[in-house]
Amino acid sequence: MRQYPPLCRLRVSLLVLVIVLSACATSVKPYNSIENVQQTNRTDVRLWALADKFDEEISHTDRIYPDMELQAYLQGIIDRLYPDFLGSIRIQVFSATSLNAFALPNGSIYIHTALLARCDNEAQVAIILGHEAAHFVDRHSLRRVEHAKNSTAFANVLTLAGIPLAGPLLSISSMLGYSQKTESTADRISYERMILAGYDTQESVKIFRRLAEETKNMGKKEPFFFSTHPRMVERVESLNAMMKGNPPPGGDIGAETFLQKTAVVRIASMEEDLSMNRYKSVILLLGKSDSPPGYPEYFKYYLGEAYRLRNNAGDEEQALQAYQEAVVAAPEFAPTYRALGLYYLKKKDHENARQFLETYLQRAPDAGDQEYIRYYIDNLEKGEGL
Amino acid sequence: MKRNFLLYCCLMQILVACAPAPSWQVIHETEVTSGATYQVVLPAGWMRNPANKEALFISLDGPALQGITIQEASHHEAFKKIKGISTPDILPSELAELTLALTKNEFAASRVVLLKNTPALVAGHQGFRLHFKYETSKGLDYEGIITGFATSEQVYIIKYYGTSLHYFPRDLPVYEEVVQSFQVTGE
Repeated sequence: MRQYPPLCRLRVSLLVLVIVLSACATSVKPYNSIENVQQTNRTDVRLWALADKFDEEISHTDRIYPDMELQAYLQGIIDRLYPDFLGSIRIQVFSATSLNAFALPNGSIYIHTALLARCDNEAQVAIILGHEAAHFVDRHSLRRVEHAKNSTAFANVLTLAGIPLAGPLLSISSMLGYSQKTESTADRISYERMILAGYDTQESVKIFRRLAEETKNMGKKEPFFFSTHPRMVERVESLNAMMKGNPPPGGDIGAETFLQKTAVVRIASMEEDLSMNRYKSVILLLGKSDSPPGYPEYFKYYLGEAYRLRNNAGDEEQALQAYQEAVVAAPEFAPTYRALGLYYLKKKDHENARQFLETYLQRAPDAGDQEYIRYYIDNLEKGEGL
Repeated sequence: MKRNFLLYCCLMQILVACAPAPSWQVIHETEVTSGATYQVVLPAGWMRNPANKEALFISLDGPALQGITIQEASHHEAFKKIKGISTPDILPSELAELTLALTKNEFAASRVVLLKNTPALVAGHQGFRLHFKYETSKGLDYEGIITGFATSEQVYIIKYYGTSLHYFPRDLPVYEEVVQSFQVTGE
């Protein structure tokens, strides 16, 4: 029998020991039901405390969208997906323009208003909420922390044992948020929960496709929600594969109630986008359809505003056309008259400008920008234009 | 000879690296300062930060408590950060809209709440005046006012902020004087 030198035997023994220890340490069990939702070790206790602190601090800011009815409705979707965790998973709507949703290790889930506004129905939001809840139920935060700890320890000993490159590689991968495998697991759990809850799983593919398209057309890095997720296209393919292996029996879409409950947040999100000069997302949302679901009949006004802000060649004409269509579709909606008035003011068509600006003030006498409008009208009456 | 030259270069590099950053300069007496295309009277006792090359920045008690910034930029450059387009025929309300978008972008971590947006006459030009507030992630409340206008060539922004408690109301009259003294040169 071949005799290995003592140092080599020591390295092999150390390597075996670390592999055994790390295998033991990473056995984080998912929560099976509400009965075993508890903190199991010191790391877990720390994670929960941090999450509780985050919840507490965020509740004192104005970032939580103040619509209790909407929150209760979304909570109902979560409870329908996870009836075995009633009371453990809590949803909040977070006012923000980025397409994001996230789960904390204590069961708090936050969905951004912008992401909510991209969904057409309850089934579409269900795949997102189900995915985030899966991170909590499958305890992905704890797994990641434990994995990071063990990876570093493991890597250090591997370096000792003469395999130096494994250390940085493992450390980096554990620092990059949830792995692709973890995100795929969350997608699978969410998909299965959708079926059990009676939602139409076809909608999950539709919303993922839409988000993939928006990501591509915005011409920038993927939104934060997806930056650590498998790329959207891969996720669409993965969901399609799940559907082939487990054909969806159809199910609820829940469009009507969803659109009604999210009508205000949909408009607020779009106005916030425009107020930050994020015209691209508005053009993408409204530019393709003559009747996008869930938007009021005056939606073309917002499209016109987006074209005006973009101000590329031909956008002035597109904006004017959109405003004119908005006036026809919703003659009572005041802001369109202001937009038309300002359009004609810049075109030095003083008669039309004055007429539309006056109509705006008649319809919205308490408008926040009335001082500007009165100033413009005064100048027009003096024959000064601008 | 070559070795000495290399040593000299290294020494110079080290000395340059060790040189202290330009410190704040106290404005001892009321001072008339010129930008590339403007002139403004700065308040005595305040301090100017010469390190800020993009804009003129002054503060009395430190940037965490209050500050006044004066920026001049071409229409093309003014709102580049938010891909906003300003043109010589931009309306005051449109300029205010872009400035608010830029401000929201700058304070992305906070939530900027607009309190008032009104037209204003600045240096003989029709412009705007925005009054807003925001809260930092640590819960400190600030208020701010931005006055701005555009000429056919340039966009001018005069910004003031301070903690809502004490500093903002206390130093607001100083800001108003700065705005009053603002003049575009070479018109």
